[in-house]
Amino acid sequence: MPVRGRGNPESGILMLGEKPGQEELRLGKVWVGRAGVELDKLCWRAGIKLEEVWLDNIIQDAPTGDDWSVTDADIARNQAHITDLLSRGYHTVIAMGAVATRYLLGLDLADVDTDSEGGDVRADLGTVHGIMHHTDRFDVFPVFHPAASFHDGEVYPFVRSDFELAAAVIKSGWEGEDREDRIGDATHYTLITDSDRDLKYMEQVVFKEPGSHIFIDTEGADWCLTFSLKAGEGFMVRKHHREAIERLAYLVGVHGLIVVLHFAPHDIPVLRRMGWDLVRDGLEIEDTAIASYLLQIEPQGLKNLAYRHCGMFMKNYLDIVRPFSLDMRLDYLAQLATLDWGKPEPYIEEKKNSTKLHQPQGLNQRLNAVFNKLEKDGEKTDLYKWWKGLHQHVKGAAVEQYGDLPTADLDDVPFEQALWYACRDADATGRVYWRLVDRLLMPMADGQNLWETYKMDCSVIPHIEEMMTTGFKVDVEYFKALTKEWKGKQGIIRKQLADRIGYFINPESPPQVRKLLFEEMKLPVYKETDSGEASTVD
Amino acid sequence: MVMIGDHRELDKGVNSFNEPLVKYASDDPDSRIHCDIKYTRVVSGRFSAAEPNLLAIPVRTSLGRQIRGGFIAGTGRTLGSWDLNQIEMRFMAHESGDEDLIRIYHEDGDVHRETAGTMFEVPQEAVEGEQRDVAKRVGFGVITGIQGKGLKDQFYLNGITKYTEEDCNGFIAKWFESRPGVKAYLEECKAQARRYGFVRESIGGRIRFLQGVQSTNKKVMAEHERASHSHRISSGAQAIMKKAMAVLWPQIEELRETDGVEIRWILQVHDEIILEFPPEYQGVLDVLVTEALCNTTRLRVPIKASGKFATNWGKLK
Repeated sequence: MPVRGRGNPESGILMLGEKPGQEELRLGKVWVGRAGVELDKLCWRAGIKLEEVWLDNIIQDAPTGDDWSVTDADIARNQAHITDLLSRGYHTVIAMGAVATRYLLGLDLADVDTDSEGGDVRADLGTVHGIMHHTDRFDVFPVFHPAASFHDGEVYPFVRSDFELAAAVIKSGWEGEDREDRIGDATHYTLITDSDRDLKYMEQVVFKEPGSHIFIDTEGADWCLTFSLKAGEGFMVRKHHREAIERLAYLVGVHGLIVVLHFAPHDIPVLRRMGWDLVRDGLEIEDTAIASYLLQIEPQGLKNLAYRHCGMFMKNYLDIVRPFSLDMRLDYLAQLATLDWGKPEPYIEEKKNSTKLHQPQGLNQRLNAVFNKLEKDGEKTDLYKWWKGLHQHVKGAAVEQYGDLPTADLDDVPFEQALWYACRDADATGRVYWRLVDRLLMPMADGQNLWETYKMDCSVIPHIEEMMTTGFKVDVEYFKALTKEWKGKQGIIRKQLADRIGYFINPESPPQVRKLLFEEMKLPVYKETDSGEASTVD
Repeated sequence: MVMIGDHRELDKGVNSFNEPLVKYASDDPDSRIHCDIKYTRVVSGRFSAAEPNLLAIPVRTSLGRQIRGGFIAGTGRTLGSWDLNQIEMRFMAHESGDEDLIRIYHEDGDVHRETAGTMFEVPQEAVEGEQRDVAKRVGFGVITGIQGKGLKDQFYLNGITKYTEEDCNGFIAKWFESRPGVKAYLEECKAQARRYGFVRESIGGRIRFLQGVQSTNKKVMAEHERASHSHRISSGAQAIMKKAMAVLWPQIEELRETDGVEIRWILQVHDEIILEFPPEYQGVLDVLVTEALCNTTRLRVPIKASGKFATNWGKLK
């Protein structure tokens, strides 16, 4: 039977979950199972009362079994319920969990797909939770799902703090922290070259009143550095404009600016290759990634932080280059399609309970299939994901001969777009920095803050960078010989084992070892895996 | 089972270390491994690493030592490794104020032997190796909140199968009886988590949110209670290390500048730092590094550190 919502239908506030569990289905009421008990506790602690909200789920029914994912088919089946629910005039929706959040923000319901390029930062609950989002119909305030901490205790602080903030939204109409991007499109992103005019401009205008901090970012392949001294401004210097870089280094030193980077140990060597050694210049270095790490309930990606704290939308590098990658990739694949790649070697595929020999389709067949898909779906076809998913046995020879699937870089992108993209990172670092500093300086319940901890962690940035850059020398021949020796020992062990039990087994195969130890030798099960099978580890 | 375990250990050595190390080193003209140090991942302030994870090479096993044997100093140079001796135990003594623990460290005594003496009610000189081993395992386990089952598993994995879970619970209870200051300290850590929703270590001020101590989910509550003291101790030990590293940086910079000597930071593995330098600088660096590690932070117990020198990592241990 469909599961009904409960609470006060006139409250104007909807607390929206995802899908009923078995207990809810049995009783026909939302939030009465284990997660419901957790929700009750969280609400009680935060002071949220049932008469202040209407509690409901996106999905009223659910297929049997333990499948908790919500699919487009679930949505389609429940469309009448959803339409009715969301047209009841709620001014605010507290979205509990990723599914409700993504649905209400109009995003793809599927999990963030790390195999794909790009992606919307708002699909990450860690980025959007505990902040207000204004949509055309209502305000959406995402919170972690009450059951999120059942399997991962580390999430509990997020859940607690979200419900405390939700209580402020419900009780006093708090609109969340001010994170509006007031600068919007009125940004000033500029290229600085080695020309006398540009150098003079940098010295006399850009550095006229430089403040105390400079925010710097670099792009891959030493393409450029960008810097920002105030919100909404950003300047790009290309790697070959050495005079501009030298002048910039001089000005930063003269003004005694603190250099702030995001994941500093990755940028420092790039800047050094461009001729500017921040460490040898003795500059004080800070890192916004350390700030977000210490605060713990923050995402660490710059784009996620910029959206979360400053309302800034930033483009992903891959989003910038993707349109320019498509043509290159089509040419590459078309070239491969003109050749005969033969039948690939079969490979052993190990699944949960079986090991089987898999004969994959050849590259030519796969190419035909993807060209058909391209014809049907056009640019929606994710060539990157498709290529990444091909087994090495299928694409290995092509990669060896023609290189991997090409991806465009900033050189292939119109310059204005590349300038905007690169400068925005430095601009965002500056805007995010001050928001994070506020939080680091805020006294916590014990009266102390995190500023000194932040300075301590920043003090070892030069060490980390040097360790990564210097590297640890290894004796390659030693490791090759060691591998040979150990593989030989493994062969001896397998032989001795076979002599002992009468047949060969693969000691790395859990099903084979499980069969030997627990079925044939009848050893007691010492530990179980998460799926309830006898563990063969240890 | 031993054969299967051995096979798997070798397999892990080959697939997780040897082969990736060859691949990474082959990509570098100087055969150097440049791992990606993750300094914003571990809540205690420790570093982790990837591509490859050099910080995960086993320390105590023979295979681990063999793997370390393949890491070498550059031509004509040497490696120096300094580690903080029993730093987490010392920091626990400092934090808890347990008088007996503090006394033992001041007298440079054997903490585990003396604890075993109290636990098994025998004079120190009569403590047997096995009794000391029990006290040692419990002592280190206390930092992470070990329970009887965990201790039993640990013995089991080391080939000691005679202790039941009940025996192990008894060992833990006896350990706490002999170290009342530590017991009170652990309770204080839990109380701090309950009061503030987080705990803060006292040297670097790093916090860890632990509202889970108030969760009605027993698993979450127990996990967060254990973390309340393990965070304060392991994070405090890391703070001691980081403060010492910060003090050392300008001193080593000065040596580099005045003598033009190439001293390089190679790795920090939890309580150990590794540098690479010309052998003639071994003496001066030993003094500088040991001094920084031992005296940058003052505790109620002495901090001890010692340097080891060799041309390969395997021989440093």
